[in-house]
Amino acid sequence: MLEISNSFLFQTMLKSAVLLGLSAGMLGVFISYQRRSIEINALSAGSFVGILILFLLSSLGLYISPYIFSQVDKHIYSFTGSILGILIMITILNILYKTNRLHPHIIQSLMTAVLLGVGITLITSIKQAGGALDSGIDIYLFGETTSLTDEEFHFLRIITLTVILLLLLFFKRLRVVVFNIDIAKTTHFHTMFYVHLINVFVVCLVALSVKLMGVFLAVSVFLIPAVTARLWSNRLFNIMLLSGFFGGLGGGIGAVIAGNISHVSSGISITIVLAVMFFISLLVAPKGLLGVWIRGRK
Amino acid sequence: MLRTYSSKEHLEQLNVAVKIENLTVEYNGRATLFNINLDIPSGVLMAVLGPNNSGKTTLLKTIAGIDKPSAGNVYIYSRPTHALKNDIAYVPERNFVNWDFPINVYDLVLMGSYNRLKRVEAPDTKDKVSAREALERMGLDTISKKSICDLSRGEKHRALIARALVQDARIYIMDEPMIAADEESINIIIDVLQELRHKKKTVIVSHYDFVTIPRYFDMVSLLNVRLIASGTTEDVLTEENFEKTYGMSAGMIKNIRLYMEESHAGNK
Repeated sequence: MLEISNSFLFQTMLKSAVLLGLSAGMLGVFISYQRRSIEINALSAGSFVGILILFLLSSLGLYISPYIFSQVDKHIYSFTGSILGILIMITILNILYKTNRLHPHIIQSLMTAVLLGVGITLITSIKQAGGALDSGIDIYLFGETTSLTDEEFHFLRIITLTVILLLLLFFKRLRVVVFNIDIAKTTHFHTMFYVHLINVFVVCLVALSVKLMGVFLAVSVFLIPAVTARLWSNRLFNIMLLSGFFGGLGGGIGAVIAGNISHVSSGISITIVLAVMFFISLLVAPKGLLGVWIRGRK
Repeated sequence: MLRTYSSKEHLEQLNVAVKIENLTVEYNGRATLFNINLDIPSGVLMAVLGPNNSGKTTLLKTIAGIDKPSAGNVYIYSRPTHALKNDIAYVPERNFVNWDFPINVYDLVLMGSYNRLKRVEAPDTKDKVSAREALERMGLDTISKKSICDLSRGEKHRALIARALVQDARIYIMDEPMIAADEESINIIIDVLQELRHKKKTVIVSHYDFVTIPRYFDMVSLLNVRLIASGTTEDVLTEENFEKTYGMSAGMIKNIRLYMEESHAGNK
């Protein structure tokens, strides 16, 4: 255990999970009040399919021109595919919102189901075909923190720390934008800048979390900490800090569990730890069941 | 005692605060407002009246610069809306606000001062005093620490208006600020509307209850995608205009008219 804990790989894995949990937890508070929880699922599914399609295209490229395509790191395909998949998903969702009267949540759920179906079909095809691409493709199902390269870890560190810093710096204006977009639009500050800032954070963090948490559980690192924190406070700033704390703690403990128990993916262990924290809070937090029961008796 | 401007001549003497020219707003290819031309004088209390889906909220949002016109222009004191954002305070309809949002009444009201603050600047003592005064004026000072999700419907309306008061704008735009509110809240809101007019502010309010319009407002605009009529309450609230706006049967309009007359007589 000590040997594993001191290893460089474990340190990287732990730091990645804590930073992702911290930043996604803080961002998750804004996302949940924008009622975008289901959208995160749809974006994760878009990212998943994007990664798989780029993997398939790269294998085709490798076949056509082995010299050029063998020089490109497989991880570049995964992140580029992830970002492209999310952006294409956002475009499709926006077109669907504008062209019919269905509730956005229905559209998001529909697209999630369709893309997960496409993704699972693709992953099955890749595994059946075998070859170099087959190795490691499973990590996108339930996530794996150990799969991060040094470059990816540095990239994750820059992205997550930037998200945390900007959320703290622009908290005041982000709060107005998330509370009521119409009120925000009548103020002198550029509302759409803050709306797009949140969108950029979402795209970056979903792309990172699909690799660490997997396509099915990426949403948990955004939403479970936010919902848990809501049980402890009534003020958005405190909720944001608490959510970051719960996300970071859940990420850290989950990564330790995944690092010490073989065959447990980090996405699963982190989600279980976050869920345990939620259920404990649901019982003992001021706005939890015990708090409600005590207030009821008074 | 409530006072309204009753004469057309008086309204014509006032400067124009809001000028709307050939305004059309479309959503998904369907016009929610069509070819609206309207001048709103400075320092008046104006009601916007119309049936559901008549474009009342769209009109208010377009004046406030929230929605963009598909065609035409909106000028505030002769300048485009987007150039004058600090001069417009907007109160959204209660149902369009997320009341589960984790914020207390005081923090919500203090948001009105954000318009004066730089990107990372915090509200100063003056802003906090202004928020306290607004809370007191709206009768919310005793519940300022209460979470907004625990407020009654009337208190929610008052909290949103208190936020707008802190903004200290020249034009106040309020979407249904009295709908389903209790009597105490309605009285406080009406008093505040009168005070705003006394301070020469222009107040544009979408209002559901046409019976009370002559009592509370100087001007009224009847809307049903197109502008049916606009002017003093006496000139606009006619049977013919009601029929054009609501498409009601003549008998029904007569009953409404009788009810309105009785209501007017009762007020005198």
